[in-house]
Amino acid sequence: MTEMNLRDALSKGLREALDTNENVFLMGEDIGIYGGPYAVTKGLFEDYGSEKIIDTPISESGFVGAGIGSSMVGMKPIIEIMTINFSLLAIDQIVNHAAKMHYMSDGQLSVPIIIRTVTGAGGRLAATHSQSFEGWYASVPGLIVVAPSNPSDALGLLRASINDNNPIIFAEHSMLYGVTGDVPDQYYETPIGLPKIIEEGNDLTIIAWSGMIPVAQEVSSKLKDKKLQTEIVDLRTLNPIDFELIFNSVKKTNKVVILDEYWETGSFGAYICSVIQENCFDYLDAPIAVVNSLNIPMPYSADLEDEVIPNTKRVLMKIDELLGL
Amino acid sequence: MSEELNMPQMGYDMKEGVVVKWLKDVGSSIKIGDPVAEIETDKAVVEFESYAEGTLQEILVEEGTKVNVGDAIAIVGDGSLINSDNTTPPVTSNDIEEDSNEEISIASSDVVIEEIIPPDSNSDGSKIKVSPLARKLANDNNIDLNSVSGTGPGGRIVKVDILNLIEIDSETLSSSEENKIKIDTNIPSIDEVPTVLQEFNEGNKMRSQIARVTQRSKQEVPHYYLSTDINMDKALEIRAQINTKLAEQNIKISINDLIIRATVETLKKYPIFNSRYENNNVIINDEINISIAIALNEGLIMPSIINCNDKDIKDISLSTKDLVNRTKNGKLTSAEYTKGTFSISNLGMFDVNSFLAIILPPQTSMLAVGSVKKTPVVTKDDSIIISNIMNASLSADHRVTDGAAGALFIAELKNNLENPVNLII
Repeated sequence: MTEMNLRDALSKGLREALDTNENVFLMGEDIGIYGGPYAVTKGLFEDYGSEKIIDTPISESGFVGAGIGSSMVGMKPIIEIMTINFSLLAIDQIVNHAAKMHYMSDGQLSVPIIIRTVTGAGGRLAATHSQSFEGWYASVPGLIVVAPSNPSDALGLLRASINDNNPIIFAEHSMLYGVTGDVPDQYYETPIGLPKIIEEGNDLTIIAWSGMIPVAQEVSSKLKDKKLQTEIVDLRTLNPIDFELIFNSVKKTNKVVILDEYWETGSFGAYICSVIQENCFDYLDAPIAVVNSLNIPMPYSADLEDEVIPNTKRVLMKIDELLGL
Repeated sequence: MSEELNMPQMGYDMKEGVVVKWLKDVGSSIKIGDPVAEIETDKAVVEFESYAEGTLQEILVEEGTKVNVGDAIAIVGDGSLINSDNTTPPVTSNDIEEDSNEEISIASSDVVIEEIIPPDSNSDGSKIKVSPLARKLANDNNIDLNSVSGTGPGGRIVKVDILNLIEIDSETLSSSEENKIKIDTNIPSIDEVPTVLQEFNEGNKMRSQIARVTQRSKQEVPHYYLSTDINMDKALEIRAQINTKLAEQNIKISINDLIIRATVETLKKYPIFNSRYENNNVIINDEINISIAIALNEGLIMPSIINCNDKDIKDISLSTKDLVNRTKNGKLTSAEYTKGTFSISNLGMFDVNSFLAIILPPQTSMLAVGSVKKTPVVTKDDSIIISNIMNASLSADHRVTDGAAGALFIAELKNNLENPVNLII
């Protein structure tokens, strides 16, 4: 085991891919000479050169499209979109081309592209740079969406993504790059689509992913004061999802809280809620609580931003209100 | 055409009744309003009056049988049964309304409404809140959700409430029989197991019904209260005059009769207090049926004097005496038992200054009156005289009226009693 932060775990995975697969190349804004806006690609330009580490113009539609094209003819591009907010400029490439090509060519073509991008709020980056669109992409058939919350999952999922033949949205939360954790020294992969129970408990299940995991952990520790044992399920992947593990947890605890950093209306958390109630109705002892960001554009003010993002206080209030705990 | 006679809802909280005695035989001809059976509720034995006309074609339940409210107990008609399907009750109620007087049609349409209440609901039709898991556990263990009180948010029945009941059952079982029985094995239904809970219900039916009704009223009805002192000097004087005049007829009117009479006049002016609150609607009753609180040994009962609108003070007095006598003999009609529109509780005989009453839903107000007491009173010219003062307190449902309306009501009541000539002519 080696302790490292999530940023370094990703960097390690990228280097491995560059070292072992000659078709891998990286492309994105400021990932080369500058070292990446979140420093994930720091040092790669120096070590692998401008043919493998390609700085692009500010043209998301262009370089994502180029990446998709190259993947169709045998390359393994790892594209970085500076933040998921800017992916909107490339959404036609992602939704109408990357996600559809395999289906519309009757399997003749594949799009094994990895699009790494930064999601989430908390960085005082205001309304247009603080959004969490991973749930949107998870709603599109043909796209895989992963969203790790810790270094070992980040590395394991990056390895699995590199070995997968489908287009993958790899959502990294801006506030989690510094999170540290033990990473096994021997090679492993984290299976795409498999949620993980990161805390076991019998009294309620909290389902979360990415930037909501630290909130879930804080809620869990507060609930321990009330002698309540929380089970935390980290989705890790948003599409596909192996629901069996979630159902089993719900059947054990009978109470569910879902944390989702997206807005309330039409959230991915609401979708998880609907799947659970359809499959576990007779096991529910309370309404399923879904806690989202408030339905407003993200304020720039730090105090207000902290109120808009689901926080421990608001989650505990919701648990009190709906679950009576 | 024939139709079913269903177990009527004779009381806010009634869920089932026992057919004690059939008063008609199969084949007898029945008119609307004829007593057909004696029904025992938690509180009393009440005559059930037919809301259908024709021949008693079939008696569906034997004497002594307990029947859920809304279930058929007999069939009345002149031919084939056209309304055996419970899903078409509105047709029945329309039919009745067309060919019967108003009072009966109200009674029967209420009964029909009860028919369509799903099993897991309170007697007012509101759904019992229960989590899906608790519902499943209750079903698996034959537990009647109506017998469970919920401890979850907003009173929802949750898992732990059912598990607690199952534990009570299994503990009772293991102590009464020697064998230990596991919780998840086939536990007999709650009806078969003698629990402490049930002994209370069986032993003190009336007490437990009063407990349920008052508890629900206090939980559901937002009460507000207004009190005033009423100078009864003139009322006592006029009562003495009336009683002198009526002495030869052997009629003696009471203070309570005057209060009822004054309340009726007040309700005519402010009919919103003569209303009922049902399914989030306020319905103003045309008829004024004054329920009076009568204390029996077993507990409190509140039968009503039907149609007080046009009764003069003599009629009120006679009706009240008759009602009290029949209450003590257990001979109330279902209308008297269920159709009250406004209640009066008088504890004057107990030397009580004042008290606040709990509203009897679906009614929306209740008057509580204390003793008439000789009290020093400061007059307009600042002298002190001795007057007969009685305190009256109105309890009213804040969903229906506000304090200002209540103040007008109680001021009018005071005015009527302090100027009692209005009550005579």
